[in-house]
Amino acid sequence: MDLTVRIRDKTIANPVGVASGTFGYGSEYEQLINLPRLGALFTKAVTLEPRAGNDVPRIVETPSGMLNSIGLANVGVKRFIAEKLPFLSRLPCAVIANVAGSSVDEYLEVVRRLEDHPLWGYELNLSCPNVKESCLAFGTSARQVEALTDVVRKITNRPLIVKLTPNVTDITEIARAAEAGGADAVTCINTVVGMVIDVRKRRTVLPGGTGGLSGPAILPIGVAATYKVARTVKIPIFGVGGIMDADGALQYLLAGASAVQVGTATFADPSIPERILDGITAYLAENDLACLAELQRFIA
Amino acid sequence: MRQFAAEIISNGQIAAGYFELRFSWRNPGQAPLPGQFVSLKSYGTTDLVLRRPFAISAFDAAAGEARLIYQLKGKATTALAGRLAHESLDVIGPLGNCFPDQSGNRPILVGGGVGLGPILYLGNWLAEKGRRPLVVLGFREDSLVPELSSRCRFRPILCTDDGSAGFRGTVVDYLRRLPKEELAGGELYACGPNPMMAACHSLSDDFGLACWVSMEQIMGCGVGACMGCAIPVAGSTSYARVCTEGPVFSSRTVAWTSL
Repeated sequence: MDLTVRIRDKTIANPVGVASGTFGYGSEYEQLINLPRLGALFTKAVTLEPRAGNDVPRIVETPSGMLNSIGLANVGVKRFIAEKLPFLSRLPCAVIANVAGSSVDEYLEVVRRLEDHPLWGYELNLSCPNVKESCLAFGTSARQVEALTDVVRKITNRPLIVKLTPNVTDITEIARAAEAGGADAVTCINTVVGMVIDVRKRRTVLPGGTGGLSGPAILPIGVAATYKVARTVKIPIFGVGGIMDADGALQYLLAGASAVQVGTATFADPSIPERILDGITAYLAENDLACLAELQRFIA
Repeated sequence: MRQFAAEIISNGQIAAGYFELRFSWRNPGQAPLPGQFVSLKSYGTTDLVLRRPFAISAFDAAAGEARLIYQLKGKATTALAGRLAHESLDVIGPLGNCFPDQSGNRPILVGGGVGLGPILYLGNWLAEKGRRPLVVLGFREDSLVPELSSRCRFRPILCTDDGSAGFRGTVVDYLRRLPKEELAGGELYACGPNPMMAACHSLSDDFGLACWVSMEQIMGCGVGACMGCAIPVAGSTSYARVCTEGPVFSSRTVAWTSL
């Protein structure tokens, strides 16, 4: 059975990855997860300078999900290279740096600095909903997505993945722009904008008002977005959003994704990514399917 | 830290709205220390995605058993309260840092409300080492005070807001009435509501004592990955993760007015 996923000129050993922002820099989960079994590890977003992140509280649980407003808290590219990459580069899985910024120059500079260091590829975070002057501003404009993807494309030969926001009228337009800009794949979807109000205190629970919704509540949103994007672009899709088990992952793969990312589910139970891989493998075997790509032929 | 399946030994109410959970812990090599916590997978409804952090209130290596005290607060703790002996728990732990004990100063322990658990564990742990901690426990009223004598290897001072048990007033009211020489040379360890810990911090400032606080924050992952359980750090624009840099902090690290 062939579980590999091909992106650009590289492969990923299996379709189950862990989503950016939910897995730190990998070492946090070292004692809980058999990291070499992961297909891909998407790092916490890396920006040029360290970011402290947003005011607290940053998290609130919602029905079948959670709302977060972390604000891209991260150590910055310099410390990422010095302190986080040595561990990450020893892992056999595809380590993909999630790159964020508040200007085109910042994205370029982060990628430029990472180019000399061992990484499998990049995921451009054009869709974080929680930062002022944010990357979401890039992610909601097809023109800017294409322009930014294009300039980053010109400075790297590594696989380049663009993470799409669902907080737009038509996600396929943005996916098409990423493809036109030279992206090798898209990630579908980032968190959905949401708000929780404390009725007793009569104010929003998150100090910034809104946050990004994740968890099983958004599974059907992500699957629908993946279905639409898969019928619009030719490049592979990483399906993400609300996957809690193999069934959720298979929904994305059947909708047209080539691989998946597990995020919030890892918080609930760190054994879930591995169990999803086992579940996908068993499903393929039970249904006499030789490879993942065969899943894409069932749903028109 | 590791993830393991534990068996519930008992799970019952110990005071109005407060429960104690006893569960198996058969890996003494990774014994939890006072101040450390575990995260439990939420049960009862698929509505709840996040695990819940709970501080350890007792650990018995010989019996292979740990305990924690929790307050009924919402759906997750209500579901937890309905779980029965012999059922299985999904535990990750031990997590976070622990209370330091290096100075040799007299430990003054202050617990309030659900902060009782880690303070009991610390008090017993110190008493076992031959230290003589002063332990002051605060509750709103008598009905919230659990049976303590079987849980304590020390004699705690009780305070209630309404005077229905022990000293009438807060734990900090009690400490401020002590003769100065009782406090001098002490070191404070506090766990409870933020206003109580902030008051302990001011007291420690007034008397020049070291003060350690165990903080609470809503957690995502509990292992340092998500940056969700941040608290603001005093005198800076940075944050610290309660699950990783904490839960125990020097009270001088915490930006109390920004919480």
